[in-house]
Amino acid sequence: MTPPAGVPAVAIAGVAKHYGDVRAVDDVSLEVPSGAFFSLLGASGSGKSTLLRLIAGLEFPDHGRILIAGQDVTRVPAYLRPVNTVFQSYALFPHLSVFDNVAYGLRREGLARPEIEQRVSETLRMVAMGDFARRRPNELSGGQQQRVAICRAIVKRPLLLLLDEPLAALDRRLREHTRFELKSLQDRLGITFLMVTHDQEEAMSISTKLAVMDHGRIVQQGSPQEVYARPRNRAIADFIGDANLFQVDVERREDERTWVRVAGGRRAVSVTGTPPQGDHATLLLRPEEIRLARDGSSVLDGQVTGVSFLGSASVVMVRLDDGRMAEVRAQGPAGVTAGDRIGLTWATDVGVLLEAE
Amino acid sequence: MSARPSNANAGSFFVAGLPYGWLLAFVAAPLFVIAAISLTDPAEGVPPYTALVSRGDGTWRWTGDLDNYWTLGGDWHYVAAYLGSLRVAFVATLLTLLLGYPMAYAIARARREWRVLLLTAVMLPFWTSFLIRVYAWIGILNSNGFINTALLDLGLIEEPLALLYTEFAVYIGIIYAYLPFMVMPIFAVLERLDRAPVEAAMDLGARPITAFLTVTLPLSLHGVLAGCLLVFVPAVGEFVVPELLGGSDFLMIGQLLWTESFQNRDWPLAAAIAVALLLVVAVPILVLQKLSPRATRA
Amino acid sequence: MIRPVVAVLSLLLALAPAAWAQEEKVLNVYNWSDYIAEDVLKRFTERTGIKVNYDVYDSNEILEAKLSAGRSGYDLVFPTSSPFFGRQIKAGLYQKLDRGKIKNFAKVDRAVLDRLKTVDPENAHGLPYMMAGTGIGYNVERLKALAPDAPRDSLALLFDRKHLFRLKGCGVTLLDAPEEVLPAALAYLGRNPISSEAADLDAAVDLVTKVRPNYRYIHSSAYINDLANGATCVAMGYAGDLVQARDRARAAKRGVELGIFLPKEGAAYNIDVMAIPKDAPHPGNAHLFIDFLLEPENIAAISNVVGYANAVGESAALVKRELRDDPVVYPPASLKLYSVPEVGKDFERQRNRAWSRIKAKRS
Repeated sequence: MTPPAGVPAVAIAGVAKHYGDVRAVDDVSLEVPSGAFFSLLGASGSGKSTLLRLIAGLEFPDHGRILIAGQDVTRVPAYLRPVNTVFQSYALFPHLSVFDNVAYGLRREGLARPEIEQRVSETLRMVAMGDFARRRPNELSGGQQQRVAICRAIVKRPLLLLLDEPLAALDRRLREHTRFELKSLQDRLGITFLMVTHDQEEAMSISTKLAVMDHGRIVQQGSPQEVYARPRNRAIADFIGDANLFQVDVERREDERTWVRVAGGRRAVSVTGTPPQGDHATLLLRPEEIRLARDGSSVLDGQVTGVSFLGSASVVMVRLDDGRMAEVRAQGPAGVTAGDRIGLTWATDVGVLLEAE
Repeated sequence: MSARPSNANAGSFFVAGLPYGWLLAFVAAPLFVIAAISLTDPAEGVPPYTALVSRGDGTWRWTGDLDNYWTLGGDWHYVAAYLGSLRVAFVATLLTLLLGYPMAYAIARARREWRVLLLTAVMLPFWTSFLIRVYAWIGILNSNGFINTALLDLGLIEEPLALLYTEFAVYIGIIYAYLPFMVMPIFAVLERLDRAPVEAAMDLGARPITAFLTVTLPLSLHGVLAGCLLVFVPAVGEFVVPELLGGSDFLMIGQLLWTESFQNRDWPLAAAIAVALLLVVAVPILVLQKLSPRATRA
Repeated sequence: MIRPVVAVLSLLLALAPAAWAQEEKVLNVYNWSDYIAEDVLKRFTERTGIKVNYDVYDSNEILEAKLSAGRSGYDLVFPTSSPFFGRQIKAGLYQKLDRGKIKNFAKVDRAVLDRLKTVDPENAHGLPYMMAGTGIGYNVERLKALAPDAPRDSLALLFDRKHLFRLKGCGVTLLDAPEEVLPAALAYLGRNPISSEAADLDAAVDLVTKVRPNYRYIHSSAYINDLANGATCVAMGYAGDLVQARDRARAAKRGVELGIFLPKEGAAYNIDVMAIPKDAPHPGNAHLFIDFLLEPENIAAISNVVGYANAVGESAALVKRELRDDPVVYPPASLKLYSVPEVGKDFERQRNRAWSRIKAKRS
């Protein structure tokens, strides 16, 4: 059941889902290209899990249509959709062995026993769980349970794999490791992955495309690089990566750049892109875009309040002269210590202009 | 045991010992008395049985024996009553389960504000006396009771159906009386049951009924077992329901016990029936406990 | 019926004074349900200042079990003379009455006292309270329609297959009491109803077993209502209960008219006795109460309420005419009456066993 080339794995048009007065999903339209590793990123309560359940068929939308591989499945129940889910906290069957958990979906298809055994063993081996087939879920570690949950879903060879916070229950080290496993698994299987997560780092690191959700709406979508570099508003900027946000006055507009003056700044700086309306705006600068300056070429001045050395980089916290805080990420050792007077500067045309507060 | 326990120790010993003391005084001791009586012979007088030990020639002599148990085991009359009681209890338990499970399921799936109401409705009959509730069924099942009157008035039957004083009435009575004991433990399990595995099952291609049979039901099995025990155990020894609603077709062991102790005035044999009943009921409990899937916790 | 056989009144016993004169003004009476006139109790308390704690039972077996367990706390009980009272005397459950305390003893019918002597040879332990036979009630109209030739005075109505066959659909019922049904079967067969011969038991069991499929049910109280509202046609029953059914049928005014008779082949006739348990805490008060009950106007008042005959001759003038003239309540001297005597334990168990088998056999 491979969809024809060019047909998106999932296409959602004007989908809404209300619970009483709460608009969990509010008029969402979205396309997930076939073969993508797509992330739905949002804080808890943003509606991303509900959207996932709508796609899985565990809930039905109040409005709108859902197409999977071009087929309208809006009213099709979960058990008839070519979609499988890796549930948050896995939802393994506690009364069944690992083998039976993974075989469950194949048995529902009525496959012959030898084929079931072969496919289950093969899938379990793929995630190095071949030796655990006879265990019960409660005899496994969290990471092992997660792998069983993935096996159980991919053994069905779905068109689309939904992952609901698949890494949230794992500890940090395991999480980072598993991220890459997920990515390579997707490469090998060629299945479209749609993952829900609240962890922007996770979304950035493995997605080919992502969408940011807030209050039941999709506020921005694109490649991780695009969304990181050009967040559409302050909330997204804050949510995706670390951000320094400065209030600026627009001084002069040119064709491709805008000159702005940072509040309390020594001089005007240029920013590429079209500025928002009005005389005031917010300038977004990522910590790694700012440089420490000791030669008087600084735009802003302040005092170092703390330095964390991370090995490959250092994070320097600076209290600006007007009292606000700024974060600077420098390659290698920063060469400053708490208490030093310091200036901040950045390259021409760096930064993004957003609406003023 | 040489050191005197400190006050704190004595206190915790007392608290921990309280339930055991309770069990000893109100469960073990009466059982022990019954078991002791079952080893004696009937006699005229107060009490109406012989002593377990008698004093002759200045020495104590043990006079108890197991004759009553040989009588029970060797007489088809009693064996048949045990088997009949087990059969009735088994069928009644099964029917109660078939009725109680969907009720428990519906209540557990109901909205929170409805749940309290529905649970209260299940428990409501307990606010009146058991005896009165069973009596009420006499009025319902009578040849001129609600059911027959309604059926006659509707013209569905020409003569009243014989409902009362039948085995059917006994099942009705037991199911009615013990339904809450089935519903409550199953509800308790279903209410706490994680919805996620059921959704996972449907996600993996299981229709709702398949998901129920392969996931919900196995995961609620310990509630089912608890409910079945709570119904089966008292149903085996049930006296009131067969006495009031049952026909004369067959006797349940509880009625036989009544006959022996009241009509035949044979307390020792009645005691033996009670002890044997305990064994008959205890065996299935032990078996079920062994079978109970301890690994599956919801 | 489900009352636990535990003596909860042992405290009363512990407090019981040794001498009657010092007895507290309390009397604990344990009687059959619906078997007293309330105003008689009130008058007794007014006259003596003794407070009556009145408790009821509805089977001899319950009473017997309570007394057997000991320390029942009751001062006065009303066992049925035969076989219960008889065997209970032998088991030592009762104390001897002090005749000097019962002035009205002289008023008790000699003939009834003589009949009681079969179980209590010197009338030492009990005096008669109320008496009633076991009879047959029938629906007058249905019987006329279904079996016009069936006798209205004979046990044949219960045991003859020729009649049963026609009455079966209408509903014939028996008492659930082997000591009532089997002697009646013997009387019908022309044998000695109070026999304790194995051969007679077999004959009775044989007869009842053969006709068993014709009975709607075997039950000791359901027949009262069923007969009264026409659900059944013929019922063996206690005379008092049958009279009650007849009254209910009349009160309901639904056209059901009941006839009652004591069978000509002989009827079981039971005397309920007043007796004082050996460990009664207030035996003095109990004697006072017995004497009080034997006063003609008191015993007559009770008869008028409960519909049973009493054994105080002088009370006859005070008993309602309809009761006094009813041959079911006061059977004519010509009718053969019998009391089923105490039987051996083995015989009794055999009889009860045979009875369960009969009950279990359905059509």
